[in-house]
Amino acid sequence: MTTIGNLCVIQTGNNRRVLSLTEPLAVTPLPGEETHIFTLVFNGTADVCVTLKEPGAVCRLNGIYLVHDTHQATLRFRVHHLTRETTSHQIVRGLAGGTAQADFTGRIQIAPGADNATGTQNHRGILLDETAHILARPELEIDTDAVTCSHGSAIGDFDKESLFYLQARGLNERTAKHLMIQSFLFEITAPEFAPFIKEWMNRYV
Amino acid sequence: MLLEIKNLHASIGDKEILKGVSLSLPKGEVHALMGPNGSGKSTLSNVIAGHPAYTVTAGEIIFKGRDLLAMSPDERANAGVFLAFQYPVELPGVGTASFLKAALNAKRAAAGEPELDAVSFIKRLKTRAKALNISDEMLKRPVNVGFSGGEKKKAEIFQMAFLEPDLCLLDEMDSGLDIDALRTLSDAVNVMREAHRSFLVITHYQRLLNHITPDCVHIMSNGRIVASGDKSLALKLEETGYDDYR
Repeated sequence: MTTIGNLCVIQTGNNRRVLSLTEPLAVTPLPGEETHIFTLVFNGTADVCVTLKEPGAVCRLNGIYLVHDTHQATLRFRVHHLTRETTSHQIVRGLAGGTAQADFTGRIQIAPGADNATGTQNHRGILLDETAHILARPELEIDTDAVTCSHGSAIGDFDKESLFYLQARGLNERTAKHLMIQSFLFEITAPEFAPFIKEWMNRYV
Repeated sequence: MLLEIKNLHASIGDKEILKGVSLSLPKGEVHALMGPNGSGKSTLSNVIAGHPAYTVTAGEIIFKGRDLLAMSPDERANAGVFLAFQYPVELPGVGTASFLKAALNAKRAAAGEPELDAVSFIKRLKTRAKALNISDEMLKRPVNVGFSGGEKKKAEIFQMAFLEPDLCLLDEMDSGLDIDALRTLSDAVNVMREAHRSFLVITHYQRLLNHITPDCVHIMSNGRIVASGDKSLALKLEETGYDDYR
């Protein structure tokens, strides 16, 4: 069986690149074209650093972590708003099972004078087993007043009502959970990730 | 007898909700289950379908001669139990049609039948959708996402019609429906009345039973069935309320 590596998709305008995420990634989005970064992490560390240094620059950062067995995955997003009118949105969804540990750190740094910057962060994690761990650390460092920032994080089990609903339609627990994961990730995943997510689910869920 | 419930006791946490329910539902019949809020009506339908939040502490449920309580919720569904949810769950990112295909194929696999081919599946889907005025656009939407309250109820009855169960548990399908929607859904239920299929219709109001005529009406109070009779029982309730049964 293949080992699934960490992946990243970067889209700027019509330009789309897929890279394997073995080293820290640094991106400097330019104004005019929104930069969209998708990351998928199974093991090890994925580090994405975004610097917004021109007014009008916009970056969307989507992160997915899927960890199992004894895997340890760290997903680190750092966004530096160096100037005014810059925007970033971080959305992270993940699952952890076995005795695995997932660690998400999301940093939003807004420099003095970066007025009218917007930085948001939202994280949700699902624990597949009680023995797994998910750690979410929002880090907000805001050195100016005129900003819009928000962050939220929730970690829980599979929603029991949804699981029951799917089972009450005849789907076994495994198929039901696969559909729920598909639903959980669909908003933030990239089509390029689909086969890898499927392989992970087949193996571990 | 399609469904036989004997002295059923069920709890949620430490709280006993069903305190000895016995009910027999013969094949081909429609039974209405009425009762005040908190009497245990929805709990009963959830326990029949296998909701994991409830613990059955005594009694049995026999469905088509099988011990239902020994089966998982999906095994029960595939054996022919369908619970139309009062509050169906939304599944963003999962299309209604592909969801129904998975559900139908699970049922067919349980019966030892091969998967339905794409053409037959679409045909079945469209026929049932048309009967309920469900648009192609609604079938393409994710499961229950962006559906109004009425559309969700309609989608549940549509799923039921599509999956052709033997036991239909309708949990307050009339709540929040306007008169026209109530008629449409009732018609869809009436079309499904067949010799091999039975219905347990949970409702607060006699109004629904003007559209779906029950063979028998049961009144539930405080976790037990306290009265059973023909449809005139529901009419009488409309006048007297539940005070006599509390």
